[in-house]
Amino acid sequence: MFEFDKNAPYLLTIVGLGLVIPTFLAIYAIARAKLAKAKLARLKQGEDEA
Amino acid sequence: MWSILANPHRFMAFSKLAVPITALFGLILFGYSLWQGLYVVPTDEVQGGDIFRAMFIHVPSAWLCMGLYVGLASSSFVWFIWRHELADIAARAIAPIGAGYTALCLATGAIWGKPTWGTWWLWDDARMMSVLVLFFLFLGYMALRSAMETRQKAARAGAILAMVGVINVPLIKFSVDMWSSIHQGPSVIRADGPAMAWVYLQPLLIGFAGQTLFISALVLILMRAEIYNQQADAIMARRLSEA
Repeated sequence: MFEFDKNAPYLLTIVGLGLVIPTFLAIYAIARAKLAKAKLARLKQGEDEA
Repeated sequence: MWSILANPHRFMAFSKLAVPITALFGLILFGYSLWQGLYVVPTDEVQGGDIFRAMFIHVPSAWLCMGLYVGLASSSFVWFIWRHELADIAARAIAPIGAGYTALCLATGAIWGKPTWGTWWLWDDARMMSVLVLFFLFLGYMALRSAMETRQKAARAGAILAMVGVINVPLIKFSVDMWSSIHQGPSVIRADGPAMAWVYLQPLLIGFAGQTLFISALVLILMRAEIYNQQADAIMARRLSEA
């Protein structure tokens, strides 16, 4: 593996944040879309049954 | 093209195709930039050694949080003038992504600052404070909207805040020139061309392009979610009126 100088902990924390925050945002966006789609599907199904 | 996509049905068809493509290309470009930035480009001893590699995360996040705010303000302007519903949906979708990327910019900047300048934060630094204001503008936009009783009131109040707050974007950009700041002056977007060597600039720009594509995919996903929610609200409103 590659080695960095004495500031490696700072650098790796920054890289970690650079991966974690966009991943969190992606999970948030996908979860919102899935929940909204499921809610709409439930309502449409209820309308069809009625 | 924009007037065609302004139709929600066409937008849903377009975004269904665009989301996986933009997300995939975005991740490939971002991954390439990160690999180049961390392991391939030579260490810049003038910039403090390996910590300069933080640039490949921090700088795109700084550009993107400003770009996202301009997107928020532009969408709000379009809604405010033409009352186009899709513009308001875009503004709502941009806000949480903008807040996330501004938080990323602030956090990575503070961590980079400690080994480079010996401090996490300076309250009298114009660049740091103007980016902090940007973060509060994103949070304020979301809080203001959620405090309103109706969708129309929320869109109107949010649009006014977003349009007024856009003045902060040029202040961030030119803060290092106009006021005291521990930050270095501009090294990429300059009147006489970039001061950065191409070996660093190329992966930086590729990473920026990659993250822009990735963010576009997230905004499209959130816009789709908002359209589903509006359709669900319309069904519920119809049921209530029939009952």
